[in-house]
Parts: sequence; C-alpha cells; structure tokens
Amino acid sequence: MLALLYRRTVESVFSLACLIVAVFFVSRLTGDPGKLYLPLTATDEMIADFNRLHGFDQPIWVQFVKFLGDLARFDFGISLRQQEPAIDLVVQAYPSTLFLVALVAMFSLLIGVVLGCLAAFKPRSIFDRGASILSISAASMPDFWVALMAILIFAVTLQWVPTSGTGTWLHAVLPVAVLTLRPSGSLVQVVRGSMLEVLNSTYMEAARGRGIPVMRLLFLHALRNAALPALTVIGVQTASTLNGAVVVETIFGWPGIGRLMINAINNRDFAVVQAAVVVIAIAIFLLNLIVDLLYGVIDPRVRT
Amino acid sequence: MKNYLSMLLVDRPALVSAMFLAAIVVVAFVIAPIIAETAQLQNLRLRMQPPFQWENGWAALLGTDALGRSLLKRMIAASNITLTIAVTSAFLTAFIGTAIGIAGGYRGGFADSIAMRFADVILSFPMLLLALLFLYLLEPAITNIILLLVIGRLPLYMRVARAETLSNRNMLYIDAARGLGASGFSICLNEIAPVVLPTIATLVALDIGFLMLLESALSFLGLGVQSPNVSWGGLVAEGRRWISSSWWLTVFPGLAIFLTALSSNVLSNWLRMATDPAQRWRLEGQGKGRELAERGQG
Repeated sequence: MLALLYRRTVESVFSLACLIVAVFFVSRLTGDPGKLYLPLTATDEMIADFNRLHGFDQPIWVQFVKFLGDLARFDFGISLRQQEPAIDLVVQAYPSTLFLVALVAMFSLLIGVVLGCLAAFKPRSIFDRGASILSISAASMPDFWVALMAILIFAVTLQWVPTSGTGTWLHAVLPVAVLTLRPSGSLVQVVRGSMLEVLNSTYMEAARGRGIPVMRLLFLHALRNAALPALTVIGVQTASTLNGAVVVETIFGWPGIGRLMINAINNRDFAVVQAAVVVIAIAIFLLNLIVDLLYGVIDPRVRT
Repeated sequence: MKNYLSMLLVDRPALVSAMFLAAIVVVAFVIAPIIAETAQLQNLRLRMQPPFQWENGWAALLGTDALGRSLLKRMIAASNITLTIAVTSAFLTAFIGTAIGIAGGYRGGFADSIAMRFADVILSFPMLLLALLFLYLLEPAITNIILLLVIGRLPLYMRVARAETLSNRNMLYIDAARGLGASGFSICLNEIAPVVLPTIATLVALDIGFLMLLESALSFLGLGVQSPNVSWGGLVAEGRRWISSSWWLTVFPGLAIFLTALSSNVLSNWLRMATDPAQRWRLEGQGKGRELAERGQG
C-alpha cells in the first residue's frame, strides 16, 4: 500500500514538474515575457523596463533557477490589475470553487449510484431508459449553453432563483445543478454496467442460494464489488468538473478560481493565470492521491 | 458494407443520428461556402426579429440579431468553422496517436515508456484549462486551436492503440508474418492496424462531438475562433448579451452544438456494437437480436 502511494506520488510530482516546466518555457518562448504581463498598449520602452526590473533579460537558465526559487516560496508575482500578490488572489478564490466541486461530487455520486442501481435491478424499465438517455445527453451538452438555458428558464422566466452572484443557498442551486449533469450521467452508466456484471455473477447466485437477506446482499456484496470502476470515474469526473467550473463560474458570476482565471486571461494578468494553473495542478494531484487511498480501502487486492 | 447498412437500419436512433450528421456535413461543407458572403448582410429594418415570423422571409426563419443579420445564415456559415476544426482535429489526433501507439506498443523499450509518461502528464490535467493557458501564451488562431486539441487528445489514442497492440503482439499470425519475412513496419501496417482500427473508429466518432464541445467552450470564453470567423460557440457568446430579450440568439446555436454532439455520441455507440463481432448479435437478424438484447443482458 505504501509502495503504491509512493509510486503514485512520484508520478504525480513528475507530471506537476513537467507542467510547470512547460508553462515556463512556453511563456519565455514567445520572445518577450514582458509582453505577456503588460497590457497591449505598453510601449517597447515600458516592456524593456519591465523585463529589466523582473530579470527577464537574463540568460534563460538564470531565469529558470529564479523561477524555481519563487515557486518554492509560492511567489507568483504581483497581479498587475489588482495590485495584490497573485497567490493571495488565488487562495481567496479557491474555497468557492472547492465548495462547488464538493457539492457536485456529492450530488453526482448520489444520483449516479441510486439511478445506476435502479437501472441495473430493473432492466428495460423507465429507470433504465431514463438512465441511458440522461447519460448520453449529459455527455453531449455544452455546459455554457445549459447554464444559459437554465438562467433563461429558472431565473428570468420563472424567477425561482437569482440569476447570478453569491449569498444565499439559492444562488448555488443553478451552478451546482448544471455542473452535476455530466458527472452523474457518466456515473450512472458505469454503476449500471458494473452492477449488472456483479448481479449476474455466480457468487451472487450462490449468496442468494444460501439465503442471505436481500438488503445485506445488495449493499454489502454487490455494491462493494461494483464500487471500484465507479471510484475511478468519480476521480476522473471531479477533475474534469474543473473544466465545467471555469465556464459556469463565468456565467453565474461565482467568485471561484475559474472566473479568476478567465478574468485574468482577459485582463492579460499573467501572474494570476500562472498561479491559478499551478494551484489547480496541485489540487488535482492531491485528489488523485485520495482516490488511490480509497482504492486501497475498498479493494483489499490493491493493498498487497 | 451491406452488412453495416442493415445493422444501421435496425438501430433507429443510430440511423437518425447518421442522417443528421450527414445533413450537417453537407450544410457545413457544401452550402456554407455558397452563402458565405450573404451571411454578413445587415438589414437594419429587421433588427432583433424573433424566429418563425413568416412575413420576414425565409432568411429570418431563426430570427435576426442586433444588426439584422439572419441567424440561420450565420449559423450555416459558422458550421463550416466548427465542423472543420472538430473533424480535422479528430482525424489528425486519431492518425498520429494511433501511429505512435502502435509503434510504441510493438517496439517497446525506452521510447515507448517516455511516450507513455508524457501521455500520463497530459491526461492528468483538465483539457480546457490547459487549452486556455496555452492559447493565452500563443495566440488563438485556428491552427493553434487545432494543434492544442490534437495534443490534448493524443494520449487517449496512444493508450488505446498501444493496449490493443500489446495484446495482439504475441499472437500466432504475427509470428507467421514475421516468418514470411515481413518487416516490423509492414507488420504494424498490414497486420496490427486493421485490428486496432474498429476501436479507433469508435473513438473518432465520439471525439468529433467531444472536440466540438471543447472548441465551443473555448470560443464562448473568447479564446477560440476570433473575428471575423465565428463558430457556434462564438454565436452563443454573442447572443449572451441579449439573453433576456432575444432568447433565440443563444438557444439555436447551442441547440445545434447539442444535437450534433448527441448524434456523434449515439453513432459512436452504434459503431462500438457494430465493429465488435462479440457484440454484433445485438444488431443483427432484423431486430431479433435487439429483442434478445433487451430482454436478456443489459
């Protein structure tokens, strides 16, 4: 178990390192790093001054060492737009996104497991049909369009929820609902498939034959065996919820990392963009570690 | 071929999807270039007209925007860009990824492990964020978008092709080919590739939808296709400003994206069943297979 964790940590750190190196080199590759940081109207003189001030005119290896040193201290520079350290802005915005992602993971797990199990127990029923339709539609829907439709229907026309912003729990309803669609669709498919496989297996028949009560059978035996593929999907889907979160936060004005990153991109605030990307990468690496730990908890074979 | 056609006819959702996709392809690549100039025509007397007002003529069938431009024509013109990016990226990724995957799986060795390491690195990060970051650093031209979509999707094809190659590499027919004097390259091309192709074809069908969704998201956020070109995602972004007054400007382009992605997903499901001989019975026998499938296994 410990060996597995160690190996995964090394792999994740390697991925993180590759990403950071890639960001560094691509941003220097475009010639003038100053151009990335400063607004488009900056004159050449301003850019040259900026470069000299921040050491961008030094040889690239010197820059890389300085970059790594800054990274170790989580110093990503000052956001030029908001005159605050970039890392502070990112850390402020992070809990909002975490809140969204956690809620989404919870609800999609609930919906996915319940609907998937129902679909597996009663093939050809309305649950089965509904599950298939849900999963295939959810995988084809553009997040931004669904969000806009939801605003149009529920906020503008029916006026059940506010259109954007934060404050009450009502503000969170639409963002969470829109983001939950894709993971729950995916999860329903996977849970249904693996439950079907488990329910039709010989050891389940044997257990039924031995007269084990149905509830215990379902929850202890079937669900536990079907859990593993579902766990993989949850891990993958939570990471890709960040994709949707960027769009949804922009549309609903939710003050999370996604919106911060888009605003920073539009305002050409490279320090914040870099900080956001690195923080998200670290979060994903931690998420993968947790999923691997849970693997070990659920499946004894992994623990070796 | 005739076998595939009969399998398609049995599965009605797949048939509808295939026809819809064919229609979209015709619209995007045949009709769009024809009406390209007239799509930008402004008619200030017909600004912000809701759809289905027959007195405004067939051009305003889906409504008009703030400058009186026909939404229908703009959507047709945009479909060219959207589909070009989606289809080009899908096929490029499939070609390059499969080639690397087969080569790596067959030869093995150091280059293979390096390739898989890079695949893992790219796969571990959400693609939209990577695309946003690198489109910010390079500029959002169409070639860059295609490049990023390809790089982002490459690991998946590499993994799939490599897995299939590994499982086939030690089979008897490969040994036979080698015994007959075929070179490694010839084996990869003539023996392994046809086996890997059906899975890859399924993935490509899926990817056309997926890459279209990704590109639409990028265009919606402003880092995708730039003016004067516009894609469906960009049309939704434009319509967002008037969402409470002119709903049709956001609904119809997004609906087009949704329906196209949906068709691509349904067709990919069908392809998965049709190309796998172990699953093909579901689609055969004029629907008898389907009944058995629905009654029995899930």
